[in-house]
Amino acid sequence: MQKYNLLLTAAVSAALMVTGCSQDEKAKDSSHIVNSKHPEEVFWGDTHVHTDNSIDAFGFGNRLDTEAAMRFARGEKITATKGYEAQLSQPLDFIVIADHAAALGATKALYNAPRVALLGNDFALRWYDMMHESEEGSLRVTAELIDGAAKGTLPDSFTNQEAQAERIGDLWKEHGNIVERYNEPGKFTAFMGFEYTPMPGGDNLHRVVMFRDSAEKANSVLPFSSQQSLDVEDLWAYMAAYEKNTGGQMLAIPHNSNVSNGRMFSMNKFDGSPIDAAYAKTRALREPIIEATQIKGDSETHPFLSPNDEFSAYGVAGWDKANLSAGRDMKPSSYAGSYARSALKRGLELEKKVGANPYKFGMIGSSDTHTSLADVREKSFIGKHSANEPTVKDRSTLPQNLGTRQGRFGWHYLSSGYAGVWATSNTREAIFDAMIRREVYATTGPRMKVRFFGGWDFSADDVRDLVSKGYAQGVPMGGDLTDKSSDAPTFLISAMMDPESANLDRIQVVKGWINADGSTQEKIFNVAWGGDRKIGNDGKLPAVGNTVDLAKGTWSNDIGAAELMTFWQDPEFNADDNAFYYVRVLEIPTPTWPVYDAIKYGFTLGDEVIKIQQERAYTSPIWYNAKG
Amino acid sequence: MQKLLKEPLVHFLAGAMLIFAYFWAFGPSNDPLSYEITIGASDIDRITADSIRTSNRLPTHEEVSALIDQAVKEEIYYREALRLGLDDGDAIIRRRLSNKMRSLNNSEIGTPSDAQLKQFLEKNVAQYSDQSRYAFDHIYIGRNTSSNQDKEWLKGLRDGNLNVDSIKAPLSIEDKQPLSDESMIIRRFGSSFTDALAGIKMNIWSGPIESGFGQHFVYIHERQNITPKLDDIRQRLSNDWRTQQIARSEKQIFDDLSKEYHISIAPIK
Repeated sequence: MQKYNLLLTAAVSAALMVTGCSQDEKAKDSSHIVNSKHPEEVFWGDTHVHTDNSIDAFGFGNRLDTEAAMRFARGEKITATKGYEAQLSQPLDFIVIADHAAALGATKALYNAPRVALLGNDFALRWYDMMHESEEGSLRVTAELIDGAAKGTLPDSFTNQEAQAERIGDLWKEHGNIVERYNEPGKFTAFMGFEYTPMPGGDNLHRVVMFRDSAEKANSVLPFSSQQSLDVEDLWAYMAAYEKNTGGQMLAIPHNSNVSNGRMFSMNKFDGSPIDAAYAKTRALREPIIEATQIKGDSETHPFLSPNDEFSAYGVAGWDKANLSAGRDMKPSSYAGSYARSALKRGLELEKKVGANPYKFGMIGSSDTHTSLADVREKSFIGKHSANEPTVKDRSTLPQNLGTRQGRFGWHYLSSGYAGVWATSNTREAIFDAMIRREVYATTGPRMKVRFFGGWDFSADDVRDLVSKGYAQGVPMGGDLTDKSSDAPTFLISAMMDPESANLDRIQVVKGWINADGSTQEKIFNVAWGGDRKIGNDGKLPAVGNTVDLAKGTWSNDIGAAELMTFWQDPEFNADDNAFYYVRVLEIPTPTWPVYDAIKYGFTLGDEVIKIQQERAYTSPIWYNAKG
Repeated sequence: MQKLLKEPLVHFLAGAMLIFAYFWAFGPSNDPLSYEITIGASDIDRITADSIRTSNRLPTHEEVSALIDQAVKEEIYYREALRLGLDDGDAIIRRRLSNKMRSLNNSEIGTPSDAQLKQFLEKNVAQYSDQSRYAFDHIYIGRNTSSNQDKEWLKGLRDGNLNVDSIKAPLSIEDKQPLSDESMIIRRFGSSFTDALAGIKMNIWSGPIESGFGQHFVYIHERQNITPKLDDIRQRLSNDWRTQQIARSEKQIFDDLSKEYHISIAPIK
């Protein structure tokens, strides 16, 4: 068996011999780019794009490579694998191609290997023939792959990192050449990155890993794979070693905590022992931001955790019953470890207990598209992967399962999200550094502009000069409130609609805090809203209304507001309680992507399908620490 | 005789006779080595059925036509591969051979020289000069405005006797947009507003023009067409040049191959 695996590996490597493209073009440096004093521009990007180098993306049928992903993000028209003509109306500013490190390029290599080289390896041969037989065969292979990865039953040639080193090394270098060719400081930023995908029993513990550095530097290591270790502490050690050896920098972005079965934001380490100060510090250092929203659902919070939050059900349907591979059911008791808001609260608890906060993270959105094409507008949703691209008439109602077990349907997938980054220039350095200081926010697609500053002595008048006052007298999103100099923290907040999307319903401040007895609480404050509405006796702001015309796929901006801005002071502040504050911005109701599919192909969606939603943004929190 | 029956050559010849007999009996309807390709009505039915199976709907005329072109291409590459003896009689090998032939075509593309890039830019200058720059003032007046009032306000603006502050609605975008690339204006105002700028006269108040925020009166001070310079877009040019070279070489090789074929295709129903 061992021999056959080696044979397969050799064949697969041989098939992947890439054309000898030398590192002829030197890494262009960004020294000529002028950085603004404070971030003046929000840069939009997707940190989570899979190309045909990802083992599952290729299996799902994706035939678009890194270069196509770059061209599309930069604004060019690209034909999706199944024929849909795709183009963004506004280019993205940056991209991280985050192909799965595990078995990087393996399905593509297997597919392209000479069949004769696989004779004798019944396992590989079966997949090879299935993939070549038909698209359905290729999909079956992919489902088996995800299942096998979850159950740990994949053959050595797919899991042994050493045996694959040659193939992955060539591929990683070739990928680096392309990334370098498309990185244009000041215009478009292309990051080196990969995805680390531990999935014990199908519980999602995935991270996107990105580099601040040139491809040349990133090429000095191979992507760290879940096949080397399922314990994220080993990833952090790999990151630390890279930084020590090269002087470079990396960060990791956890995502899809919603299908982690409570394990992404656990109170324990991977081995089950309680989190200690060393772990907490390392995690906060290595994982300064998380991906709170993406195609596979939204991870901000859940109605079970936030029963008083009438907007907590967004992006939850289909994702809260079973873990990633749907191999295990998830109980509501696990949710506290699966959603961002409760994780921020757990962070306060752990800080009290062990002296450091492992969950002091900012929030971004990104797509996790497996089509190479980072478009998350509802009207032109390209799909999770190439088997559910827009050319498939009823993709919104077909079962769409990642493993082999049924339970999810097309409409459960969200056309979400992007990362907004307040950086001083569009360069690797400036964008990466903004992520490190958490001056970032998540959106479910629309590019609304959100500012959020905290300080001790802002006043209502400061709203007129929000940005300069904000930076001069306070800290932006992601920051810490220190040196308490008044009774309660004050905030300056603004949100401007995406001029290509919908009006805004409201701005909310989400507060979480820890009481003296160690229990945590959360509360939502409506702080600004469009239209003539008053907060009711129940403390709730009435709904903004609904103008969606499902037959036409339109809405009217007669409700809500184009822009909201406000000053807010916490009316319930207790100086002894550590707390966090983040902003949630809601758009007025608009149609979901299945509605546009139904109009395009002329069919009727079932009652179970969610057809109207309120798209939203989540900022990174600002923290208050009683000890200063 | 016994000895003869064990001779491999005899086995081979016998096999060849069998194949010959088969073709003699059933006709060379699909001789893979001929230069005749016929896409008949039944082929088109099959192509259409395949498409329905993956997309669960009838393909459009254009889609069927594209699928036929793809089938022809696949057939040509396949036959060329057979001529090179790349087959081993496996049914699955067919698609593989076609792909293989295609990748053999992908000759290595080097790094373009400045002279090559300059020439490439000159040839494709339109592609790189589709953006303009504008400097303009705008007055945002909100969403729900009446056309009569709009006309009155526009007249007032043009005559210079309207108090601008009295009609302005709040929006925290600067009233003056300095000379900026279209990409920057799209970032601020969205693409429909930016597209509309192209149709507006300079040095006079116009509008209102609609953006995602609502209505704006606009006064354009300056409009520049961007003339791309090699140094500014060297990298983009180099990327595009490479892509073009690869596509061109693939097309060239395919065209040379397909020239040898006589291809007839039945009309699409």
